[in-house]
Amino acid sequence: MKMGTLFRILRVLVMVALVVAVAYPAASTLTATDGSDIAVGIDATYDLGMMDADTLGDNIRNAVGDRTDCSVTYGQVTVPVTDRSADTVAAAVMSSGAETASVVGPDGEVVVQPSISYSDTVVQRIASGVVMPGDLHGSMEFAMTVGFESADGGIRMDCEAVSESNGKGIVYTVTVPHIVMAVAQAYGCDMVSGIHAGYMGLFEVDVGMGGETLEKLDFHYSEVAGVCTLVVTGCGVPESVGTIGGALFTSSPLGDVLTITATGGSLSEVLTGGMDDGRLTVTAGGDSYTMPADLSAAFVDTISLMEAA
Amino acid sequence: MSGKEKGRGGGIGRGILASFVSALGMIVVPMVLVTYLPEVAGESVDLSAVTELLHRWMMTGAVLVVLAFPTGYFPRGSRGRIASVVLQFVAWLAWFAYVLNMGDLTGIVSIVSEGSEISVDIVLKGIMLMWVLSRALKVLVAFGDHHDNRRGFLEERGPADEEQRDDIRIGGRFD
Repeated sequence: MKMGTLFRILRVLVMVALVVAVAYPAASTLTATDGSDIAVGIDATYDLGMMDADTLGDNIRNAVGDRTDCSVTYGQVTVPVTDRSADTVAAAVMSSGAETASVVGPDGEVVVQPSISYSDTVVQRIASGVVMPGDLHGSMEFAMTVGFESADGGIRMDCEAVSESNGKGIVYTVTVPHIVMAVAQAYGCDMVSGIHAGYMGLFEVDVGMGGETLEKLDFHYSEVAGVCTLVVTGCGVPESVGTIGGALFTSSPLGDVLTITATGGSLSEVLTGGMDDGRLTVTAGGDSYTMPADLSAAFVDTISLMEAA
Repeated sequence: MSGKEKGRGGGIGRGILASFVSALGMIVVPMVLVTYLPEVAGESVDLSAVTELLHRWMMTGAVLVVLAFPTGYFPRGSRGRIASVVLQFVAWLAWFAYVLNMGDLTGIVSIVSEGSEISVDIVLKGIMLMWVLSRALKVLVAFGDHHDNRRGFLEERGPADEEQRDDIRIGGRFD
């Protein structure tokens, strides 16, 4: 065989093999025969360790919608649920001590809902995902980001976002610390979000959504007798007493007033000194969350600007 | 140019054809996109980065159109052909890195609607690598053709040929 012909065949084989390899997962999804479609959502299975009865009630309502054929399963118990009975069922589920609960349809299949909200004393967490039939989920990256950005772009605090494949699709979770959101609002940041999608390293697309304007909160920073205090009013942080880095914070019973206090330097200096490997840990009410390094640094930068304001 | 050489390709007609095919991808397609894309996308989509890229594509692509001519003009088996194929590939790599930023098209599109802005960043590294691989394999094919046609080419062109001066026949083999 001529060498030119040999190389031509080699070229065609290599390119066809590559195209088949990269197109297979997408094609398997488009030709999936289980009748399911690509949909944004997550299975209505709740980790009750990060929920109170109110939050669970909201999530159940979110899953049930106007359906009347759903039930909530927890432990060995299954009880019918509708939009109206969601709060009552949620209270019963929480008092049972179960660790997880699911909303299921008439055939026992777990219902898919757009998103699930979790909340504890320290953070708010939103979980959602994309359900994909076929093999696409194993080949595709998908993530959502949420953060806060000042109008001049000088401050950008990106919250932690984790995404993983769960066998049926991709699940992503965004964690927003209450204290970060309060400080962002006080500084006048907007909430920004973005979507990242990638396919087998072939391409990656990042879509950044513009800012959603948040209510600007009042704040006051003072240094009196070596005690530095930042007070943010109107923030809605859950009532708590806790620490962030080397500083203390308290949130009033109605969550209206957040006070962060530090001694032995300015607030930003104390926070920086309290970092562990560049990360700040927020602790309150038995809950704890360690922020990513980028978020920790941006949080301290924001506090510095508020000190100087 | 003899009939046998025509069987090996080459000639002004082939050169023009190679340039024309190259011009389709380097000039005509981007020109069509620059003309019609803003119309299709609408006013809310800021395509300035895309149109800038397409203009760069055309301006620098003109060089590749010129370089495509010798790849068609020289017959298979000639050193001119293989040199022009390699030169065109190197120039294409430079064009690829400059115009397409190795597939990193960050900030390529932004959409402004009701005061809110959506920005789109696209990174096509995998697709671009496949493109580079395809072009590199094409060069390999050119080397294969060169090997297959070299002896016949030299026999046809004879010792008077300009290239023949550099070829030394040793033990029946052409180098």
